[in-house]
Amino acid sequence: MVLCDLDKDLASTRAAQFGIPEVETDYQRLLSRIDIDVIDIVTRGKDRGENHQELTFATLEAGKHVLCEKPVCHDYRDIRRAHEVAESKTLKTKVGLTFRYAPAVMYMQALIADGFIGEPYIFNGFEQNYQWINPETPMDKRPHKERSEGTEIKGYDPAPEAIQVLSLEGYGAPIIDIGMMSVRSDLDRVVGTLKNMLPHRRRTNLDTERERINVDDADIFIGECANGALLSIQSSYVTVGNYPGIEARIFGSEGALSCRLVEEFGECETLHGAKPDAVEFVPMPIPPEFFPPGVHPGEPWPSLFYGNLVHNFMKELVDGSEENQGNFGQSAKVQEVINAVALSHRQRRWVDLPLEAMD
Amino acid sequence: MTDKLRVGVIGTGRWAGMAHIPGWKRSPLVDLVVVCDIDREKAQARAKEFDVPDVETDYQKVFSRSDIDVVDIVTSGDNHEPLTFAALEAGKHVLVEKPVCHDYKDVWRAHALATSKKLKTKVGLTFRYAPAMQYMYDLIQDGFVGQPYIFNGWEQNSQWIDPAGPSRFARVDTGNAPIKVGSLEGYGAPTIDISLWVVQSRLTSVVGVLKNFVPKRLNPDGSWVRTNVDDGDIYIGEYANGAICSMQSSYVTVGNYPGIEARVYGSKGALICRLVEEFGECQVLKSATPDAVEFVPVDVPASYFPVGYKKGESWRSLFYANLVHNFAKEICDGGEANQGNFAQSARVQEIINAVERSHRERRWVDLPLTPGVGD
Repeated sequence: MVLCDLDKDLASTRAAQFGIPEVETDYQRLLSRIDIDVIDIVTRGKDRGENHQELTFATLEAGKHVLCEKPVCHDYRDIRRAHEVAESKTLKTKVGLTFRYAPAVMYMQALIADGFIGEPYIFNGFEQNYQWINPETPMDKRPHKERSEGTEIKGYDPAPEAIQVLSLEGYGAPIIDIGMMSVRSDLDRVVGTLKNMLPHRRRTNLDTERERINVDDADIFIGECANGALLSIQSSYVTVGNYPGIEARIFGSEGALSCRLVEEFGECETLHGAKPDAVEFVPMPIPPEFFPPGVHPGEPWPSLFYGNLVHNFMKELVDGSEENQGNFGQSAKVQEVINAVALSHRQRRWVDLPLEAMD
Repeated sequence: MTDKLRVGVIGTGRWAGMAHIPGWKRSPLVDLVVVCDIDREKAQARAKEFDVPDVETDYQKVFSRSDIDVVDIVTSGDNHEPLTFAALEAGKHVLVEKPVCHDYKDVWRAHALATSKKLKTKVGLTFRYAPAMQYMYDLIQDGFVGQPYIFNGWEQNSQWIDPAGPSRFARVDTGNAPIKVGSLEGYGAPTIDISLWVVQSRLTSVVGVLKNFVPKRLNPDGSWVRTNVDDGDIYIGEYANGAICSMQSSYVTVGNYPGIEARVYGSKGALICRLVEEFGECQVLKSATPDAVEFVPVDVPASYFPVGYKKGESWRSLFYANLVHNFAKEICDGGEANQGNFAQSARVQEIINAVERSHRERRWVDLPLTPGVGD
C-alpha cells in the first residue's frame, strides 16, 4: 500500500499512523507504477469532489481497478462513459456507496433475495443529518487561512428553480442506491422538490456577513419503479438526528423490513422485520458472516461499513468472477436519478427515465 | 346548556361498539340516551351492553327529539353526507365518521350550515386525539421544533394484504376503469389532518401517485374480481410557510394497527410520534435536539389521558375517549374552540381531492382547488 496527498506532511502522518511504507505527492507517479493493482480516490477538491472525474479517467487509462468516492462525476453520462472504459479494459470499479455495505443492509438484501418480503410494494428511504442546522455554520466548513482563488461560486440565483443540487447528491446518493437495490428494479419516472430551508449563510469562516446561498438542504422525491413498486426518498443536512441518518424501509406482499443506520445509545445499525401473520416489528439479529474481518463490538460505523466495502471489492477482484456490486454502472444509475430529480424540480413535472429518451 | 349533554348515536356496528359508545359512557359531561340502527336487534344488543335507555331504528326520530343535544353518526354505509345535513338542520351538534362528504366543497357547505346555526362539529379524525399526538402538538406550539422544515406522515396497515382474505362484502368488478380512491381517503385522512395541524400551515401544492398493488381479490362467492382501487399511495406537499411533507397510506403494508407515524423536523428540534400497537404499547413519542441528537422517549403527562385510563388500554377506546370528551368539553365551555371540526375536515378532503387530480393528470396541483372556496 502507498499513500498519496498533495500535502506531504498529511500523507506522512497517515503513513506513520497505519504503518504504510511509501508516500507520494504526485498521483501520476502512482498510476505509472506497474506494481499497483488498485487505486482508491478519496480526494477532496476545492469544491466537492471536483477532481474525482479527472482522476478516475486517468486511473482507468492507466489500467488500474478503481474505488472512488461519490460523486464520480456530476453528470451521469460521464459516469457511464467511465463504466464503459472500465469494462473495455476488464477493470472492476467501486463507488463509495458506503451504506449498502452496512452488515444490516447486506443482511436485509440477502433476506429480500430469499423472498422475505415477497413482491416489493413500497420503499421509503431517508438520509438525514444536522451538519448545517446552525445558520452560523459556514457553507464551506473547512477552516481557511486565506481565500482560495478560482472557486466556482454557486447558489447566487435565488429563484426556486435555480437552486443548486447539494443534499440530494451528497447525501441522497447512498439511499437512492439502496432503494433501487432493495426493490430490485430500475425507476421509470420521478417527481420531486428541492428546498432551501436556511437561505442565508457565510460562505467560509473568512466571511463576516451571511449572504443568500440558494442550495438544496432538504429534498423529497417519489419514484415509480419498472416492476410496479413505489419509492420515496428524503435527504437533508438540516434535520435533527444522529449520523449516518440512514433509514430504509421496504413493504412487500409477504413481509416488511426496516433498517436503521443511526448511531444511538452505542448501536449504529438495527434491522427489524414483520410478517402478515406477525405484524409487530421484531429485531432481526445479523449473522456473523455479514461483518468484516476483525470487527469488534461497538466499532464505529465508518470503519465497520467501509471495512465491508473494501473487503467486498477485494473479494470481487481476487475471485475474478463477474461480481461487481456498487460499481460505476450502478453509480451512473444513481446519478441519473439525481439528475432526473433535479430536472423534475426545475421543470416542476414528472420526469421519465432513462433520461436519453427525451434528448 | 343543561348540566349534562344528551347524546344519540346513529349506527351500532363494530367501530361504534369499540370506540364511540365506550367513549361517550366515559365522559363525565355526557348522558348517552339513545342508540339507533336500522337493525333493531343490533341496536338493542348495544343498548344492553352499554346500559343505554332508548333504542331507535329511524334516525329521523332521534333528530326530532328536542332533548338530544349531540348526534354521533357512525354508520357504515355511504350516507354520512345526508345524515350530517339532516342532523344540522335539526339543530344538533354533530360528530361524524370520515368521510363527511367525498367532495371537499360539500364539507365546507356543511361547515357553513353549522356555523350559521352556532353548532359545533367534529369529525372522526381519531389519531390527533392520541395522548402522545396531543402532547406533540403542544410541544410544537411551545416552540420545541422551532421553524418546521419537514413533516413525514404514514398511515399503514395490512388489513387487505391477502388477495384471498375473507371479505365481509362482495366487491364490484372495476374492469379497466381508472383507479378509484381507496386508501388515501379511508386511511390517509387522519394523518393528513395531523400534517396540517402540527405544521400550522396550509399546503400550496401537492403531487402524488395512487397505486393498485393487489389487482384481483376473492369474493365471498368464490369468484375473483378485478379491484382497481388505490391500496397504496404517496404524495409530496409544499406548505405556505416553506416546509415540505410526504404522506403515505396503504392497507397492504405489513405492520400493526393503527399504523400511524408522524415526524416533524424543524430548526430547533425533531419529534416522532408512532401510534403502532407493538408489545403492549400503542403510542411512542420521541424527541431530539441539535445538542442531543439521539432520539429519546418523551413521557406523556397524565393530563393528556382520558378519565379512567388504565395502562395497556387499547388505542381504539383510548384515543376515542379523548375525542368525544374533547368535543363534550368544547360544547359545554361554549367558547370558540372546536378542533378537528368540519372546516378542518374540508381542508383534509380538499387535499385528498387534489392528490387524486394530481394522480390523474400526472402533475403538481395547486391549492386552493377553487379560488374563494375555503379559508
